Amino acid sequence: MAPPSATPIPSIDNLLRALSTQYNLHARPSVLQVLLAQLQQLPHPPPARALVETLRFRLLASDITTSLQPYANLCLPPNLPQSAPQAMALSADGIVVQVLDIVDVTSSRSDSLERLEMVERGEAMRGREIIRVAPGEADGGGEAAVGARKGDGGMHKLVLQDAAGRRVYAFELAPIAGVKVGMSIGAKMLLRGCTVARGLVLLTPQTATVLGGKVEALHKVWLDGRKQELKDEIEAFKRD
Amino acid sequence: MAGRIVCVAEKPSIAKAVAGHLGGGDRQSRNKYVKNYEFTYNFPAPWGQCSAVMTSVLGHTVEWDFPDQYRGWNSCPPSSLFDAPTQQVIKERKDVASNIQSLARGARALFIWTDCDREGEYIGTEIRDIAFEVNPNLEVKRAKFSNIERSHILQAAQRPVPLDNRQAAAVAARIELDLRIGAAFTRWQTLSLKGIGGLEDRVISYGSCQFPTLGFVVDRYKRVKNFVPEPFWSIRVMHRKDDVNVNFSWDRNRLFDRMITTTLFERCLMARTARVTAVATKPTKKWKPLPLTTVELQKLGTRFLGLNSKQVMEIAEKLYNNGFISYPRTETDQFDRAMDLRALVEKQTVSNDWGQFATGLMNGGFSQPRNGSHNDQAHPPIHPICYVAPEVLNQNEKRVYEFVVRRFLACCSEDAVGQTTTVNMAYGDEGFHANGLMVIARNYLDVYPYDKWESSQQLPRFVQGETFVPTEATMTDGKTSAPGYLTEPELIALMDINGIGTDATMADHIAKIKEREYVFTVPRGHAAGGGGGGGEEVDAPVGRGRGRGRGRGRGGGRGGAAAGRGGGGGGMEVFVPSSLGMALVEAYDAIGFENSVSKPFLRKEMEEKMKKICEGTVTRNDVVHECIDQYRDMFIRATQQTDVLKRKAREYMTG
Repeated sequence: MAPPSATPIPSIDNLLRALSTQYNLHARPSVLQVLLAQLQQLPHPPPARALVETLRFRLLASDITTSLQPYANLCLPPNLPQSAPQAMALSADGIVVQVLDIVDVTSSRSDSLERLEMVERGEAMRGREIIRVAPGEADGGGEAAVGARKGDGGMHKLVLQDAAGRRVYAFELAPIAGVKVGMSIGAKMLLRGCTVARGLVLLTPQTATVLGGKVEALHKVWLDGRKQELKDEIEAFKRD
Repeated sequence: MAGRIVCVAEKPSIAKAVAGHLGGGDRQSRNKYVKNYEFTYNFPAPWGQCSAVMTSVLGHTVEWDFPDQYRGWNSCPPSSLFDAPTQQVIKERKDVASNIQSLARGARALFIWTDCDREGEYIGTEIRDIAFEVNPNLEVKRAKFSNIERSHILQAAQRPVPLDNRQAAAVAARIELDLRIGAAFTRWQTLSLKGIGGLEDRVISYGSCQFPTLGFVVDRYKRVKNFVPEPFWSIRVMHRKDDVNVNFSWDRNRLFDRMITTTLFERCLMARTARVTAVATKPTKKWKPLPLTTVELQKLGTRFLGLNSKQVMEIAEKLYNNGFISYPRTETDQFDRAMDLRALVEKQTVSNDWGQFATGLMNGGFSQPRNGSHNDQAHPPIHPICYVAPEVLNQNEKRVYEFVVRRFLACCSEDAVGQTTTVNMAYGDEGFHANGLMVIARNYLDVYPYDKWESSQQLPRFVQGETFVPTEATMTDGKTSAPGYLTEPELIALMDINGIGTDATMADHIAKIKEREYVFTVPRGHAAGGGGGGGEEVDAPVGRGRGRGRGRGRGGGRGGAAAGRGGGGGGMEVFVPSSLGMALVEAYDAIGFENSVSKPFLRKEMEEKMKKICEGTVTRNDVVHECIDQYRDMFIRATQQTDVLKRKAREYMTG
């Protein structure tokens, strides 16, 4: 068997094909060229057999509006019908989108804000956190839980963006692994045949999966903006 | 008189009771409250039959203080109190001490009968040291007992144990820390705020337990004040079957997004038919309560008896001193298997109120109490020692005694048994459920009215796979509602979880911050809410308020479990901070302590270190030094920002 370094570097076309067939990542050739060049500059360039993996990782960490092909069949339709209560299904070919915003709609703004602030204070307080007892739940009497209880996963509403830069609202009809407040902004998801109702994309484990990744710049902007947004919304309720 | 055994109890009532059991008359001592009882008793070997005298102290005899040159308010910079010498002196209780000394002279042994807890252990060492001054050869033992019932006392007299010096050392550490920290912060606060209108002649005392306690009150108050109601939406489905309106609750409970709720609702309507996905009928139980601890007694006492925690504890103490109940300061929620609980139950069979229930237990209804997870290895759970006729007790004593008895009988009874039926149903993409509860056997509930568990309306028969077109489906909306101000049981629970004070001192700290006018209690007002609110009432996920909604359809058939909200707490009060209380907490928080003294962290650490002294893993000296260093750091930071304290006080006191 030949040593790894002896394996010739695959052609761009082969790499493009591998990424799209294996991972649904339809990269722009120009972007792939640049990534490839960058990798070759490294003191220890990845061996050829690990190249596809490395490129996948780089693509997941990129902004797909510049890195992926905005072909119509790989993107959201230009106009999602806003009025139809039950509409079309999205293309089953697989649309890659990136997460721009996430909100847990089972939680009030005040609770969401408090949770974010606790995470912020977390460094100073970790391990010695004040435990707050919710009113009335302090009594010791045990009672078998009755009836279906809500899972603790919450339910999330997201803003998703495709390679063409188009944005849509989506929400979890059923919990999807990896979707939670605290997931990386810029993380990529693959949608296949999702139902669209009133302009909202409905996500289920059968139709949506998290591919991973994170766009550092997007994440930071989101985090900074999120708290202010919550505060503004709470202010607005005050005036109601 | 050589060879006499000197017995010393913590208070006169115990001395009297114990002496009574060991057999003896009395003779006045030099203190008007303290009596000496002389008798002969057959002690275990090596003492054997010998003459004895039983006396008592009145709690602490020795006081800790700074020497005179540090005692004036302006005698020294407050920070020097962290290191100033301290002295232990006998001031008010000189007669008590000299009584002990006159008895100890020429005696053979000292037999200590203080309460069996940390404080009692420490008081035991005070007594020992006083006696040693005149008779350093005394042999010292202590009695281990947790109530003053005759056979129990006789047993304790037969099995003396050594004094536990570690527990005493923990108390000594706490006393020294409280003195130093309390004096330093109190002087600084008071002197700093002298110039503020309304505070000129006021001592603004500081206590390392009081301030976190105050912090909890302020924290909740601010949550209530800053609360902003937020709208939420939900879906409700009602189906009429067999003349019963069955209300189905949405599995998602509620969402804070109108657009999503609308979309989901529409999809329900589009689906037209609902399908029953599961019908489960299963036995359920409401567990009988755990054996009673001090913290639970205070929490439930403040909730159900119309008393505050200090009153509850004072009354419990009195009932104990009279031999009616066991020692009321205990963390233990498990009964020793060896205890004869049936004998205790039997004593209650003569009652007009619960005698019949107790008789039922004697005739086969008895069931061994559940075991909790706490055992302080010193005292059993609080339980009645004997039956007390109601005429002997005043109104409040009767309530506390009744609670202790009913709780005990409930512990010795069977769990309540019922059956729940849950119907799960899918409608569109959404899941809904309806519950029914049928109580089959009330068991312990019959003697324990403080728990509520009642049958709900019964559900008609549903079969899995059955489909139906719901009679009614509605999208509802509501708003979150503010939490209530802190109640005493909640405050006690917070102190307990966060390690502020011990079960024995919590009530005192709460009383202290009221007495200092840092907080007020007011009758619970509209905050109760909910009562007639109907179906929209939803459990809030965490912390924040519950939802109360509009847009509800009336009509029977609430499917929910009939878990009572523990009503009957008529007249429960809530805690609200005073302007001064607000100012102090805000000042310390603004001074920027991540370990602010209004937060529980530092005190909790201190409390944990006390435990370690008792376990013998650290020494008293180490603990005192560590804690002093921590609080001194806080103190220095605070004094550098005296203006923050002044500003906050001015803001609140003149606002």
